Amino acid sequence: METLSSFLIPILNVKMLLLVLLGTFGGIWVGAIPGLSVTMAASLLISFTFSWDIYDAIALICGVYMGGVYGGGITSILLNIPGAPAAIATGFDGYPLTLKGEAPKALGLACSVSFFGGLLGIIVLLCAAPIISRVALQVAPRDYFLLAMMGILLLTSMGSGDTIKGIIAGALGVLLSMVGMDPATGEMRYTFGNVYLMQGISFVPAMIGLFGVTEGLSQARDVTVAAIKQNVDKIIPSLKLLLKYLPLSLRSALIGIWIGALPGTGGDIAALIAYDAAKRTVKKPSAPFGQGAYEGVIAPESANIAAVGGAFIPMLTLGIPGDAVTAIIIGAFIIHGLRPGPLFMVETPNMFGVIVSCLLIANLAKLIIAMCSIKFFTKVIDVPRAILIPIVIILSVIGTYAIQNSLVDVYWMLGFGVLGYFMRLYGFATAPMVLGLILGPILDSNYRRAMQSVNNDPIMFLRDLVTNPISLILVIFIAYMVVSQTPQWRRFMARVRAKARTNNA
Amino acid sequence: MVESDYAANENKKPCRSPGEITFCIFFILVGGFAYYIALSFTSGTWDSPSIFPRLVSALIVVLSIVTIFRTIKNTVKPSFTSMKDIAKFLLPADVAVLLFMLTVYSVVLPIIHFIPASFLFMYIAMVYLQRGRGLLKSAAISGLALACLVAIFRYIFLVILP
Repeated sequence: METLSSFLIPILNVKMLLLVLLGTFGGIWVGAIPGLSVTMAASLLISFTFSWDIYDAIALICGVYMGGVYGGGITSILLNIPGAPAAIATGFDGYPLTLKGEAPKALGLACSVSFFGGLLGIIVLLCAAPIISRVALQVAPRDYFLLAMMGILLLTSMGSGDTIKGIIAGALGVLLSMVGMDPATGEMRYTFGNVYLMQGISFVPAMIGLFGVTEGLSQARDVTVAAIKQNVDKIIPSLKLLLKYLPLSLRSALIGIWIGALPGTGGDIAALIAYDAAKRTVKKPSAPFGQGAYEGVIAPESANIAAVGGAFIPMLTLGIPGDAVTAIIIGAFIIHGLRPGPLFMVETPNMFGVIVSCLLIANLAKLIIAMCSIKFFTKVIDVPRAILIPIVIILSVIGTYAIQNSLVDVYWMLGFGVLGYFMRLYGFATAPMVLGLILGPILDSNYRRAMQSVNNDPIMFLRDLVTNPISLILVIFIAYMVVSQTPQWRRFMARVRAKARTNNA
Repeated sequence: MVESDYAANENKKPCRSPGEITFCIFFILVGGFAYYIALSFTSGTWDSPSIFPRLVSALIVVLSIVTIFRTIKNTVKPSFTSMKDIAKFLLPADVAVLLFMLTVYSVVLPIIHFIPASFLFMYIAMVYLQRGRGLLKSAAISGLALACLVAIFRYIFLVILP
């Protein structure tokens, strides 16, 4: 009863309502600008709201979180420059839709499915948080290693480019992620005694360079190309279209919830896995994946927003952050005298209701604000390349510098931008390289932790992969992902389908 | 994606881009060098820091070699081979100028700091890409864009600009 009444607190409090709306509006813009992240905004808000009531602070942060995750997809769709890692997968089909003049439709679809995905994430948080958190605690380092392997295997099926070149780019990204101090042993790898290399190569400058600067330089090959006329008549998707894609959206959201519930993983991995799952399961996409399929936008956008609800599950039930933003929220609780942990929901039952309510309001606000802003956002496409390219480059510079106030990051970003330009020229996709940079540390550190837990015995390691239920499920998924790419499997499935058609006839 | 603008030859094999094989050789050299350096990392156990660097760099070398063979088998040489044409393909004038400007920008940024360096970069780039037109418009747009960026990053997000 107490929890139920706590749901009404943000709804009946005008100040909290306004803070959620403000946070959502600000979050959309923060998420859209490359280099600005929801994590950065949330950490700033912690100090900003130091003297505020905890409910007001939470309302603002929840709004920024919800808005920011969607916002990252806006620039990914319009400019092929993801505002956040979680939006990389959205651009695979979102940007081709913009090139076809369907940017408003893509944004409208992304916004709508983001609403449904977010809603499912919040409902699961409300109903099944304790159950999911119990399962999430069972996940061992070898399972994180397997999840990262799944992410790496996506490189083989990413977008519509050359598979082998995609793997080379991804492998290069993984290799570059090894630069710096090894977190397990402190050994320096590929640093050559250089103090700047000891810090390692952050994936955010690489992402901004490989998408922002590379896109700018690639477009500079012909600045006279006219802006593609966008069809602004169709923004709000029809009910028929929504119902058609609702099952895919909900399936992808479920993936997002589970991945988000795992501490240390978030919307970026969830979006990728959901994209790959959609690619494998959707038999007749609206267009080939990588060339403007609506399904290629729906799956990652549903997954990355559902991961928000998932990330709150371990935070509220166990006091373990699901991702960087929930880690910051835990900091906010501590600052305000609360004690996150397994008894948090017992000691402060109101907080659960308040957070769920704020997320619901933010989710709805995001839908309304985003739908009303789509026409404005798509105006960016109308800006001539000669004007847009220099602005995008400077935005990339300042966005990169804002991460760590480091000019070295800016130089890395520009270097990656130039490398990405040549990679694109020769048919090497740049997204796998960014993914390699993100997944490399997860792969390396969790593999080694898993090995250490079995005293470096490879037989025990392999045995644990098949005897542990969660690991076994992941191994089966990975085996399926590998086998389904082979010509033998495709021939086998073609025979099965032909036989089924013959039987039906 | 940048498309090659060379037509297929009589045998319907597409032309490869100039420098494509050289680019793959570059990856072989990078992978090979990375593997050589990885040999000096602590090794001997299944959880040593050299496992993944060696694995990944070997993968880069092998797949780059495969890519070279595939490229030679499935494509034909481009119809032109003069250095001038190759340079024009790799770095058209606008891209070359932008890269030069970026290099100068990187050097002057820590000297004259963010606001003047960025304004000059944006203004000169816009005027150049518009072939000398829109002098006042470019100045206004550069100023406005810079003002918005400074307002957001310096005053809202409290980022100390370079």
